[in-house]
Amino acid sequence: MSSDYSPPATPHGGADSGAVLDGNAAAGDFAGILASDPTTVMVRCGSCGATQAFGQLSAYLGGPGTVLRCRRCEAMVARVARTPRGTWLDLSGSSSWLFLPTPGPA
Amino acid sequence: MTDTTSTGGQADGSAEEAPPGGIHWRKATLIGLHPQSWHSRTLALDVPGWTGHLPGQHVDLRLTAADGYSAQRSYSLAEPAASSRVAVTVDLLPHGEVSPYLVESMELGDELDVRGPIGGWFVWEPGDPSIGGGPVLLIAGGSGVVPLVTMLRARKRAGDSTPTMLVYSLRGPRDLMYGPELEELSADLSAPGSAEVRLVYTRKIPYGHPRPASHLAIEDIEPPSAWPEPLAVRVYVCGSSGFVDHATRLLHKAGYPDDRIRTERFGPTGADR
Ligand SMILES: Cc1cc2nc3c(=O)[nH]c(=O)nc-3n(C[C@H](O)[C@H](O)[C@H](O)COP(=O)(O)OP(=O)(O)OC[C@H]3O[C@@H](n4cnc5c(N)ncnc54)[C@H](O)[C@@H]3O)c2cc1C
Ligand SMILES: [Zn+2]
Repeated sequence: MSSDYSPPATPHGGADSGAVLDGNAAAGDFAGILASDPTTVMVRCGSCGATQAFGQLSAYLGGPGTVLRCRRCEAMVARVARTPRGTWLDLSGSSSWLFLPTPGPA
Repeated sequence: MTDTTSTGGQADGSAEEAPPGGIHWRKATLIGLHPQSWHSRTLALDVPGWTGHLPGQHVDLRLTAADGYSAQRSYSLAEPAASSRVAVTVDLLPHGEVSPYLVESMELGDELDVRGPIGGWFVWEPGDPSIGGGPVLLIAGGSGVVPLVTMLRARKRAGDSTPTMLVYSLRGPRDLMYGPELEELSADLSAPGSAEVRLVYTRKIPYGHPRPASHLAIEDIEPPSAWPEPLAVRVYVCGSSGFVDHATRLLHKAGYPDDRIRTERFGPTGADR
């Protein structure tokens, strides 16, 4: 890159760790894998059975992976981790993903 | 996940390939800079190949240093779609890693990587059938006003008249983003695309402002008298995580069910920005 952006003394990738955001904030990571907008997907929690839009889940960024938790029971429903061997997608905490037909560009 | 059998795919850490129809990193060039408040500015980027976006969506920006170290952050799209132009408005976090660079250092012609548009959930397109005739309530804390102003701009462009109110919480007059534009938008409430705007100052008020400085309260989200019904059919809340949690609690107290509320949390701390 042509600019003079200089790294900090202690580099940490991604956003601040420990911050609880919305699924929206994790959408970039998942969209690179799912090839479509994940935020409107209706995800059912495997633990408590609550159904919520991906965009409504609690998102934990900045750790070794991006983790999404159920907003009702806090169980982990999905996780993405990028490692030298490849990208891990762990959906074992969710029981279903419903992809609704989307109107405009997303 | 404990399975260690290799199932192929990219195991060498090489550059991401563009999934068909998905989003991928694109090179962008800085083509415009406009101050928005004492410590925020709008950056306009030219992104060749950009195929448009919806009000409320965001992009990820990635900065890479000469030694290869890179940092990435999310920023809401600050303008409705217009060809290959993509704009973001960034507020300075004094000890932040990325925002000081975007607000104070970047110059016209600089390059960075952009990925998006991202998210179809925190989106309001004028004419959205699930919103119908409204009303719509927008609640912003600090830079959380950015995607909400993009929604208001798109709505004005479309001449949409859904009753709409923006409640904007900010610390003091110096923190006001989009001041003149918000004043114009709320000057004549009979004009198409206009919106009621309530400024909620939390620490310092400008001279003559009727509301004393204090945190967002339930009265601040009471419906304007002109609304046909007491509760908005859709509420968008955007700001720091602390602000969004606070606003969501007030909305529940005011009787809003969860399925009318859409939130976007920008970061960890602070109740008023
Ligand atoms: C979906 C999404 C959209 C966003 N849109 C915008 C936007 O339109 N405009 C904009 O200015 N920002 C936006 N943000 C926030 C942005 O991504 C960065 O978090 C912000 O610019 C700070 O980055 P930084 O590298 O300067 O700070 P960091 O180095 O990441 O953090 C520095 C310190 O500030 C704290 N901090 C981080 N974020 C915040 C915050 N929001 N409020 C208070 N303290 C914080 C951290 O805990 C840390 O201690 C958005 C975030 C998300 C998830
Ligand atoms: Zn659950």
